[in-house]
Amino acid sequence: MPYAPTQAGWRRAGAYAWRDLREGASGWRIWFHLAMRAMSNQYRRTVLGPWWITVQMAIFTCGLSVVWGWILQADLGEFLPYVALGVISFGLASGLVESGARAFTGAGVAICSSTLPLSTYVLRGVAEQVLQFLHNIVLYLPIAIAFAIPLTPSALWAVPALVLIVAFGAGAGLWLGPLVSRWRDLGPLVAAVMRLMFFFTPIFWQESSLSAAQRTALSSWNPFAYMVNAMRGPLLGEGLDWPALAGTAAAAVVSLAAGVIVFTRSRSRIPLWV
Amino acid sequence: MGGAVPRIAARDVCVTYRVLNVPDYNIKRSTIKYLARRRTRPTSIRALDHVDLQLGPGDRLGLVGANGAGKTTLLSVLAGTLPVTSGDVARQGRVLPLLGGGAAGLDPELSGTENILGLGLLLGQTPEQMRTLMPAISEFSGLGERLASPVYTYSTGMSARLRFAIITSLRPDILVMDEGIGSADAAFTAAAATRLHDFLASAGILVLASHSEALLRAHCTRAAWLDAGRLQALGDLDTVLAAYRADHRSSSPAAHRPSSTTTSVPRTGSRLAKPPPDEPPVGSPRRTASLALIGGIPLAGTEPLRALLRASPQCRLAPGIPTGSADHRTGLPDMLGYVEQSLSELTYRGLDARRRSDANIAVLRALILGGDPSWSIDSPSEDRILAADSPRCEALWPTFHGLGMTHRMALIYVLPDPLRAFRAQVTAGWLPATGIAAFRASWQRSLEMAARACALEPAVLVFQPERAGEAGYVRKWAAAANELGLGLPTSTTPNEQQSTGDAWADDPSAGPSAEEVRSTLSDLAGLVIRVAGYDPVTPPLAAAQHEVARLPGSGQLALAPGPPGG
Repeated sequence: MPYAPTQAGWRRAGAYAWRDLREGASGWRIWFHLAMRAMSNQYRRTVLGPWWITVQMAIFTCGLSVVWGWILQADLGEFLPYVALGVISFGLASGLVESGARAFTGAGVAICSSTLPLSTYVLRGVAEQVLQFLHNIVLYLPIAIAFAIPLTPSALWAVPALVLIVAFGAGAGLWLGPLVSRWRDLGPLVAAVMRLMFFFTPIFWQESSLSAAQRTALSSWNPFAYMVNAMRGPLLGEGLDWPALAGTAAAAVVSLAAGVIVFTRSRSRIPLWV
Repeated sequence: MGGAVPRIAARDVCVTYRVLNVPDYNIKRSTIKYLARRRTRPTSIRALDHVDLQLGPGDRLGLVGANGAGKTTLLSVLAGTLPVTSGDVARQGRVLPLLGGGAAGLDPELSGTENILGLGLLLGQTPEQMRTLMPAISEFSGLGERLASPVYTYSTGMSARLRFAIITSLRPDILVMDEGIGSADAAFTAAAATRLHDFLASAGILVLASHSEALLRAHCTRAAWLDAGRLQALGDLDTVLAAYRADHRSSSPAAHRPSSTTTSVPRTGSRLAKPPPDEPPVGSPRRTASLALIGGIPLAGTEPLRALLRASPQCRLAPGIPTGSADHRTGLPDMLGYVEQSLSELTYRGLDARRRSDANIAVLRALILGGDPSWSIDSPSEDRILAADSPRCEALWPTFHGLGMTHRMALIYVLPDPLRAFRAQVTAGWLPATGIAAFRASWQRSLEMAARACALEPAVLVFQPERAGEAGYVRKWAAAANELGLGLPTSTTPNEQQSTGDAWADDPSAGPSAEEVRSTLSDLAGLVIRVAGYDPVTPPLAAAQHEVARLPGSGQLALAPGPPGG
């Protein structure tokens, strides 16, 4: 997969970037395999293997719900599913952003020794996060059964939300990945911001308990709030949350647009930066 | 196999690296710089400079050039793993790069088998394709059951074998490689050579960068010589290699490189217009040159060094003694301490110890701290000095050449008289004070060293003979060289051989005449500078200039290329 000369103009660079994205997407076996490998590598020689992802999430969400439910004096039967699905949804979005940020810096050797399309490395990260999400969402079943959440077809509205979040994440990889590989300080900054966003997003507090002013301050500008709501609402049997889904779609469009622009501009410089 | 006829065409390719200094990666600093409008112009290195190269089916191109000349950049650009800054590279056929050290591209955590699959995927294969290739790869790599264990348990050679086996079994049309397979054992090297020949028989294109002439001769028919990113020569292997060798042995053109300390890529004008090699070495048109100092004792030999530096501001001196340290200056405290210690023991003619010591230290400081940071004087332990023998220096030469050193200079310094040498070496702890046997040994060693240094065919020979008589010294030196089998020209006669056993009782009248000495030395090097024993009345600078003035047609220090051929 050749590079445009670094001095090439937008038109030429755009053609190369477009071809990169196309070939990257069609080479799904490569990035899917790389993602699978990274995942199984991480849990190599453990008994549970990647199921540790599920167990870790179960332990974390239970602990969080019990402690915060007690502090906030909430009804555990409502609070636990709310928190668990919130953490899982937010985990997908934030994981996509963080893996997008690492997409190129973490693949320096591969970039310098192979001619794969660079979008492969972004898609690898996306696939990894989706796989992780699939391990986590398994928890939905026991939660739904234990807390008597009605499993209705309207829960399937979570699927478009998932697609839009993934699109947002792929876009994030395309713009954040190059920026982080050029300015290395952005990497830790992204991690810090995402940690903060966990508290800015309605995960263990409810938007309904906020005043209008608080809501404006915390969640109306926050794309992750829209994403979490769009995913969690249908799963909790609350049906489709239109505003949240629209907000998620907007975030995905903006992110993809930014991704295409930054990726086109920086593509042939990435091998020099990593 | 792409099926298409493999072709690769690089047109007017330039690659410029903006050297991102570490501070540029830092947002805080780059913002402050930006706000303060103090954006420094980024340092750029032109790694490839308008390179044109066309290769067709069956072409086997060897790339030669000094370190930093752009070989690896060209390989990466041809392979497509590095973007060009301007220009265009067209490829037809499947290009596979085999670049970098042994394990590059392999995942150390995974087993060999998993890596076969993984690397194959990185190179664009499907898992099925890789599974069908698996038995062949496993057999060719010769790793057998070890393929089941993780790659981090492999030796460098084993990883290199695995990688070579994977990449070549993917049947590239164009193979772009460097010397990465160097660490494999002899059996595998032979197998690899066979496989490369098979590959070449199928009219593939091979581009191989190497410093090893044997490797190039085994696989290549054409060669390209890169210098400072420019294609200096392209053509038949022998012709190009000869031109390259002749260049790196001797000449630098009249258009001389600036003695810049910031760029690691030496820049020169075209060297193709170099003079014929049979040009007489002494008295040839004046050249400026950079010197690599090889061999010698970097001790009190600072006088000739200083003399040289003063006489020719273009001289740059590379370390004579290889240093393993990344910090070029670590040897300095040792060196200064040693000089101080040893000189305080010695009384020199006309100068008391303290003054002489100060003078030497000042010179060293000026040379090391004020001079070119790319060279250093290492701690003068005798081990290190003896390590600076021919093979080691020969191996180091490409490095020196990469630093922009075009000439070799041997500095032969023998302490002013044998007894003093003995005392200095005992004082320095080089030798135990166990009497005259040790003294004999030390004397013999300095002779050997001198002989070894001369066997490197330096362009310039700076030597400071013992006071007892230069003739006697040169005679012993030549005898030592013959004992070492170095085959230096010698004027030893049977009569003189009798006296070699008596190494320190010199009778100047018994040795060859001063003219004979001069001609012997001229055979050894293009320019001989004799610096008389330290003499406050005739300072070394004057001595050096005096010598230089004796050369035909030179008013200042002019350095001639080394002896032709050889």
